[in-house]
Amino acid sequence: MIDKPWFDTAPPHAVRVIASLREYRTAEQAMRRRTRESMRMGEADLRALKFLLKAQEDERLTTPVQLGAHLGMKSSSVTAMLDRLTASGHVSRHPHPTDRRSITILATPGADEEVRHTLTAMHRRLLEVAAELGPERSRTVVAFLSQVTALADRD
Amino acid sequence: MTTDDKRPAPHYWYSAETDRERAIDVLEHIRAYGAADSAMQRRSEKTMRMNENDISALRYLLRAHERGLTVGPRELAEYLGIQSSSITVLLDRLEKAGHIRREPSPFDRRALIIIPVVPTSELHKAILGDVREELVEVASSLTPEDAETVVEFMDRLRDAVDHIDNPATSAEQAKVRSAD
Repeated sequence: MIDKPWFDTAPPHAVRVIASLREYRTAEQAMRRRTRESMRMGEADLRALKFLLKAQEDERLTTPVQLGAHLGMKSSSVTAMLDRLTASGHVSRHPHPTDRRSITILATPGADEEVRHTLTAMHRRLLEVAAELGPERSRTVVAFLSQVTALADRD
Repeated sequence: MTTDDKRPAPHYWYSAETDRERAIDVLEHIRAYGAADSAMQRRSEKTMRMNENDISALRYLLRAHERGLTVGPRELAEYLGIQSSSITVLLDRLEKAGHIRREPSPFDRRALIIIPVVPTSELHKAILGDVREELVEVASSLTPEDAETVVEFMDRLRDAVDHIDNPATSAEQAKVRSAD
């Protein structure tokens, strides 16, 4: 006897839930590729700029070593990334005020604008959708997602 | 008003309004789920899922088809965020598998349009694919009402995500707006 596929035996509401999760994930992955494309930047570049902009907002200086530690990248890869982001005008390198052997990195106002624009447009839209849920349904969604996340983390 | 100092400060691109914290929390859970799901996909290379790109492409084509819209290779490449050289490879593969057909555009004979010939039920099965028993258990344990809440929310979030940075849907929205 051939095993029936799971979606023929599971309750219909469970099938609908799993399909909606899957479809969301494929849409999200396509969106991530689009936003990367339009920014001509990789995921690591974007994370680096976000880190630099946050540090600048808190008036902290960032060295290549700190950036590498945050991104989990080797110093040679950090150098290559900074060369690229310097050439594209997203960051600039400056002498370190207290450590002559080190340098500090600043994100340029143009980079600030670009990251802000991409992220705010995206987050505003998604926040609107999440806000429409209201407290009770938010709890339902959060509880379910926590279970599913724990499941994916395990194995 | 009290502030909870142990909570991480909201990133600057979020509005700091407290009434948004709940929505941010929901999105944070979505993000965590996405990260866990991606990591799991990378670990289980052997699973015979249809390629994510293929699913995205067919889903986009079927939805456009239902609304009576035609889609060309360029629009599809833009939606998927891939190069036009890669879209040809993808379309060749889908055509060979009998999922799509390429036809000359009725409006421009030099241009091509892509017709999905895969039945929606077939795509649905590909999307569902193989899942872990535990996931089916978790989903089954929801009450039908709670399941409806989750499905509605995921679908709305998916539609919002589909509009982000998508030249085709932006143009469509502009048309709708100017028609008002």
